[in-house]
Amino acid sequence: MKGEYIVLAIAGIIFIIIVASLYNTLIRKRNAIQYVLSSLDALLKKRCDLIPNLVSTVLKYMEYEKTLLDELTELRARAISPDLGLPQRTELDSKMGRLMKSIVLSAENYPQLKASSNLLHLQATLNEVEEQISAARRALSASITEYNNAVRVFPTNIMARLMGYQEYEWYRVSERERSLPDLKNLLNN
Amino acid sequence: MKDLNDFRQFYKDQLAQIVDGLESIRNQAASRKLTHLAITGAVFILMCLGILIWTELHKEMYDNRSLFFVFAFIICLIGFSIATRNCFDEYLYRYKDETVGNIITFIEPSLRYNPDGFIPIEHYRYSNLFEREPDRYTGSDMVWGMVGNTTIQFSQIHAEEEEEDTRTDEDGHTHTDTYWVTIFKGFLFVADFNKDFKHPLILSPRKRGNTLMENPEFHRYFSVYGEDPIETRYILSTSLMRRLVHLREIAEEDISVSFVPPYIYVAFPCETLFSPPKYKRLDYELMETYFWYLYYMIGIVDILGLNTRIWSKQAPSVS
Repeated sequence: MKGEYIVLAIAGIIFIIIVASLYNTLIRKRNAIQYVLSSLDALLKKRCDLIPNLVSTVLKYMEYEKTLLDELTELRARAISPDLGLPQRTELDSKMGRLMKSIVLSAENYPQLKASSNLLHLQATLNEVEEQISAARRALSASITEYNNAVRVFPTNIMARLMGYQEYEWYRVSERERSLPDLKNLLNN
Repeated sequence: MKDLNDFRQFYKDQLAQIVDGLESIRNQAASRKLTHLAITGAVFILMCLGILIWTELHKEMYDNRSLFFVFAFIICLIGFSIATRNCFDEYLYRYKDETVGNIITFIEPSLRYNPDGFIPIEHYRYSNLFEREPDRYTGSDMVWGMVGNTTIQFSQIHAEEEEEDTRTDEDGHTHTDTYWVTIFKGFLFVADFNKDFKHPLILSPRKRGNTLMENPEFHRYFSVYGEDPIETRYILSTSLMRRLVHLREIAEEDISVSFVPPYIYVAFPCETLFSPPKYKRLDYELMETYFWYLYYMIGIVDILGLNTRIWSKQAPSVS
């Protein structure tokens, strides 16, 4: 009789350890997504903050591109709004990224601007931020994959169902961003 | 950067003459040593004959004959060592500067070479590539300077730790044998990385990693251990991962890579290179072997694209 109680106690402890481990795994993977999302937000904000500097640097040289610059300033104003949902923010972020790239490319047509140390520094900073954003998106994709796998595979799927966890929505790249950029078109626009 | 065809032309135009000169010195030194060996042998034989005759004449010394032979042998050995200790000095002194030094200048004229220098132990520790602290740390063939926009340094290093083996014999006496175990032997390469980053990142061929990257071919050769998932991917762009695979495939050996601010480290294991051969002929094949190793090490900058400086971290200014 005493032996049976010991076996039951050990089985109970093992069961609790397994349940705790599954619970912690799901929490950790979900937190990983949150961490990457907040880092991505910070990087997108960092890119946003470059815009006023970029506009003021190029404005006096690129009067013909004034429409582009006005559009960029307007997008930035909308992007920093706190009420924006993820899909709208993603869309705005894509548009801003494309506009900034085309403005920097257009600067090639203005020799004085092209040689400006301020623009060179801005280009380097922009390249760095773009690469960091790309890294954050890759990290987001990896953390979502890990989380979704945990939600679907046995035995973590049982715990996920009990906790009410569902698969996370994939980060979607817009069709336009996936297609290769037409540099000639960008420069002529 | 130069390639094999350029090196063949360089060998034909310049290096062959230098190698022939060194070969002549080596030959003379080896002949001198062989001559001394013959003389020492003859002296030893004469001494043995003398001992035999003397012990025949003085029978009381007959039992100590083997001891006299041993003394004669030791005396001849000491004499031989003293007589030949400087035989190869000129050859050894000139060899590395004139072969390795010239090949390095040919590949990249801006680089400098010190045959006796090596990467400081501080870099060995800072790299995070090696878990064990060495009890003995030596090296040779230090190369340093700038390749394009990137400062580099590399050398051969040999890190060893001392181990003891204690055993007890049948009489209960304890004997301790000391021996040296190699932690790492090969090239350690250090360069200034072209991006700013804060946390170390280790790529190891053997240890378990904590980050899975998108490139499965990359994971055939490297496990990734990074502290921040975003910074890990910022450093390991898709392009750099492809380049690291290419670097590993050229090496045909497991290499370890680490990124510790502000450097990139590459550890490439190999046996000691560039030792001047004393009794083997110097030829083109040997020089070509040197060329390939040096070309690979210096070429790490181009293979990994370290001269691309389009981010906010610019090339260091040359003073």
